[in-house]
Amino acid sequence: MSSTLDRLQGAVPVPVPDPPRALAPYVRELAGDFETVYRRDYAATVRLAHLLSGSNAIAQELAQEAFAQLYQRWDRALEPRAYVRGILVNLCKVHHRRRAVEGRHLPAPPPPMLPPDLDETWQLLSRLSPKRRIALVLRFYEDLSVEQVAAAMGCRVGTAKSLIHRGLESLRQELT
Amino acid sequence: MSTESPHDLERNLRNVLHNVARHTTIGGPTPLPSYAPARARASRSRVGIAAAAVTVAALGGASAVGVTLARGGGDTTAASYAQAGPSTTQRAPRANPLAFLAGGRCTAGAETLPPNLSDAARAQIQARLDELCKSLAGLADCKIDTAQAEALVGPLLGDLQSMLAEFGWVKGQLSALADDPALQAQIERWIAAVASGQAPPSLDTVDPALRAKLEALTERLSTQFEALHNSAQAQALVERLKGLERDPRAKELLAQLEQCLPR
Repeated sequence: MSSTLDRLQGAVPVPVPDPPRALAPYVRELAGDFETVYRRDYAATVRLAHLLSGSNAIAQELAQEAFAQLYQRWDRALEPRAYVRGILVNLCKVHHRRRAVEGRHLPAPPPPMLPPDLDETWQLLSRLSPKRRIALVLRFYEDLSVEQVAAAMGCRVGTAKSLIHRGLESLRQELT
Repeated sequence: MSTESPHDLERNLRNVLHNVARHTTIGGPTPLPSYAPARARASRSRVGIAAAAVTVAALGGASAVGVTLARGGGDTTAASYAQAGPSTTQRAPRANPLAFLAGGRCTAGAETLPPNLSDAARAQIQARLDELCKSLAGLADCKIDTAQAEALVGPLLGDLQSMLAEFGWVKGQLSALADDPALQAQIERWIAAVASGQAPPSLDTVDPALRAKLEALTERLSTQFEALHNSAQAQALVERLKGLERDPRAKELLAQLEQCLPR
């Protein structure tokens, strides 16, 4: 341990008291400002929003809103990527709720144009309940663990596990 | 889509999701949200809180130096800042603190630095202390009324010090975190990456248990800072500072100090 600290002291240009010295890499890692985070993660966030909402048209709007909220809560965002993901999940839940209400009163919008090989599964995914769809996207696109899915969705681990399992089961039944 | 096994289904789902993501239209250049500034503000995030945690211990030492300085000097040297040592309450005979520090007593050096510093860090700190002593030497002849300075600033610094003392627990918690094997391993990986010219590992790789501890620490610190900020004690201190700004004696003192500062 002492060798690690000694090497770290050589790497850190500013002398700092003993315990905080070990945290310097994290402070530096975290020091990326909002603009850096935004430019780095914006495209990925739009893609995720597309998958979560099912609409490319609405994805940019959701991503912008997610980053706007992130900016307002920048003080609390220890991990901006995870934080914006959580915001996005909530925004998508709201979007799905609104769309469900709209769907009862408005004609269905035309389905998005995608390559034929993607179309079937993509359409099936859109028929899942929003929660199952979100759980599957977070698990299989973002490659999050079940625990991380639960954290992003604000539910229990068991609930997330169940949503993933039932989502997969629904897809399997539709495909057979 | 093949559904021969659960793994096939999951693999195919992954493929479909990634393919759809590739077809996502991102739009042209990515403008910042309209209500975000063109240049982001200075980081006030938990980084700030963590940085505050980093500096609280140092501030404790610094305020001790300040109080001692304002009270007319003493045995505390600038090295106390780096050591974040305990507050010094003994009162030394009155003397011009600047002259005291510059008059051959600015001896902060190798013997007063923490023993576990590397040679490089020791040399770096020593160089900074030497610079400080050099600057102080230029202030030695300054005709500043130290009694008036003490009367103006001393009580404020004393109150500030007592407020900062409430954050004493941070040091112990940070020590415990610094000794965490997971953090040590992470630091090793970070150094190895930096040494080989690679990007440092992302925070995503931090051990979840350690991250939870760090978050708990920052959360507690944040709460305590907020409570302190909202406390009547802190508000009163702020008001007193504002009053000090308006005080003609303080203005005169500052003007004298400006004249004495090395150019």
